[in-house]
Amino acid sequence: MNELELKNVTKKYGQKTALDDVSITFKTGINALLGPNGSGKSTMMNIIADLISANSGSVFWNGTEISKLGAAFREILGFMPQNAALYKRFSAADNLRYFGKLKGMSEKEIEEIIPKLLEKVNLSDCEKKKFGGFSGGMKQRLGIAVTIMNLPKLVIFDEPTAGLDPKERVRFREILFDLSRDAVVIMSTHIVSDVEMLADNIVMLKSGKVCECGTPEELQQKYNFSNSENRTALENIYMQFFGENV
Amino acid sequence: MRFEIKKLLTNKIIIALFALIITAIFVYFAITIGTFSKGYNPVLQTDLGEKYNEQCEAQIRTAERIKSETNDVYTRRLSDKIIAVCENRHEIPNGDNSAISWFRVVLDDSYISLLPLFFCVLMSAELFCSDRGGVYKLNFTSKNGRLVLYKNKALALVIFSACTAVVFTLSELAAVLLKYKIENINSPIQTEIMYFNCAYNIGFLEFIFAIIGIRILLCIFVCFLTAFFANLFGNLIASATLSAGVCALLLVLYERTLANHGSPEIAPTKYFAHHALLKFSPICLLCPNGFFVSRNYVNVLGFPITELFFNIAATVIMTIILAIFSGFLFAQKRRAIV
Repeated sequence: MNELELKNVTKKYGQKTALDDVSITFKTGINALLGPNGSGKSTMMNIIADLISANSGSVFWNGTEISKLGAAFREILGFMPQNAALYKRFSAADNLRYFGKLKGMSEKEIEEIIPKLLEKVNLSDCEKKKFGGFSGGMKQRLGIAVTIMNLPKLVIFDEPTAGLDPKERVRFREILFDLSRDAVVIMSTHIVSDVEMLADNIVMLKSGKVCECGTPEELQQKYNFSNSENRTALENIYMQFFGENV
Repeated sequence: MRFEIKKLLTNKIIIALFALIITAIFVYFAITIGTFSKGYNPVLQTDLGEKYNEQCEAQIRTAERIKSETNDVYTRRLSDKIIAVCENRHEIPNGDNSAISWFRVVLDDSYISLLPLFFCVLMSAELFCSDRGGVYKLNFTSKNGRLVLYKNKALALVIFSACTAVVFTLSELAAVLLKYKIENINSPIQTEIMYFNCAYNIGFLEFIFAIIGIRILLCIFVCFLTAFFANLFGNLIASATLSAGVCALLLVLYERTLANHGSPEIAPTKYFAHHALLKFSPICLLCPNGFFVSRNYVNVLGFPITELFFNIAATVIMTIILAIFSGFLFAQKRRAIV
């Protein structure tokens, strides 16, 4: 069982507080981050991914501070930013080879995994096609392939299903379910239905603070919301926190 | 590293620019050679060897006299060095030395020589700034995406710098050889009268290799200077402009101190500024004639070291410092991510 813990993490950009003394634990499984724009989701993910430093507080991976782990932490990390941009002049396979080398994989491992990955994300026909010629959905799918290629134990997805058609979103859910068996998956999305289908744990952020945390069932019981005529239970809870009162 | 090289090779603008610069340099010199002034009065070919021998004998006598009149360790060592160079001189063969002369003239054209340097600036800025966009997060969160990636980029730059310097120098030589043949590839460079006082007894082939080596070092220095600005500002235009500006400014300073620098009595400020630049300014390696036409030494702990070797050592140190600082900046986390 893997565990990622944030302890008293605060991040400020000048006068603006993006994260305010956040303490939370993410365990193995799918953890969804919900919140409006500017709530601190991206900041939290960037701090977890060691892209930026917090002003105070620490992030622990299985009890060890990630700043002390260094490259060992990045070895088990998979990070997919929003609108993942890869190298336009490289083909799909070359992008995978490049990032495979960056992730510390051997050439043999990379060559073995490329066809499997491309099949998983339905890009087998595009192995030699340049990334610059991909559609938005194809780019997103290759980004997912790059993120999971080193079989990470901590995976962070920022808006992973944006640009995917329903068939591809179903395929992505299957990838997530496979990953979440022994990895901590953290996913930020605005598509509440994806969260309802996938998440083992939901974290709601507002103005840099965690305003609610729990499984979908726990939240439904706590707030006594069910599906209404044009909203799901979770959407009702979301609107309670971030929209008009129901 | 091969992916970093591939990034540059698949950039059509970079490749087209490289081809354009080299072609332009070759065509420019091929057309204009013969119209430049050689900078000296013509000397009959048969008299060249005799004149050189006379000059060397005179220098030996002067050095021996100075050595006998002084107890200063450095001065005695300097005199020994001058005597050794003059006594071990090669005989200057009869024949046409025009190719060597015109190659010397071509090396003097500093502003044309800036073009490949600007190409190195652009190449380095592109290699470091192109990853600051969307792929930055992917690279930076990978196991080898920090210092290991930086080392690969640095190696790719070194290789490209070497190729640029080699192709650039050979294109200049090709333009010269288009009009003038070399009768003996290893004629001493002193067959060019302006190199009579050269501190090295080397042949023309060795001279070409030396020029290529010197320019490789300069191109590497410029690449790391640009890498430093690129990692500091993260902006292609800002880093390329700053780096190109520094090179151009150093070259202008060198050119402006070049005239009347021959004597500290005539123009002391220019004289000392010129020789300070020759010692410490890497840009002087671009047009290295200044190191071969005169025999200037620097006192390093009592030992006479030629200005060329001193400049090379200074440039190597500056390059290493820039490489270290660039790597440090490259591996640093940003304060904010957009």
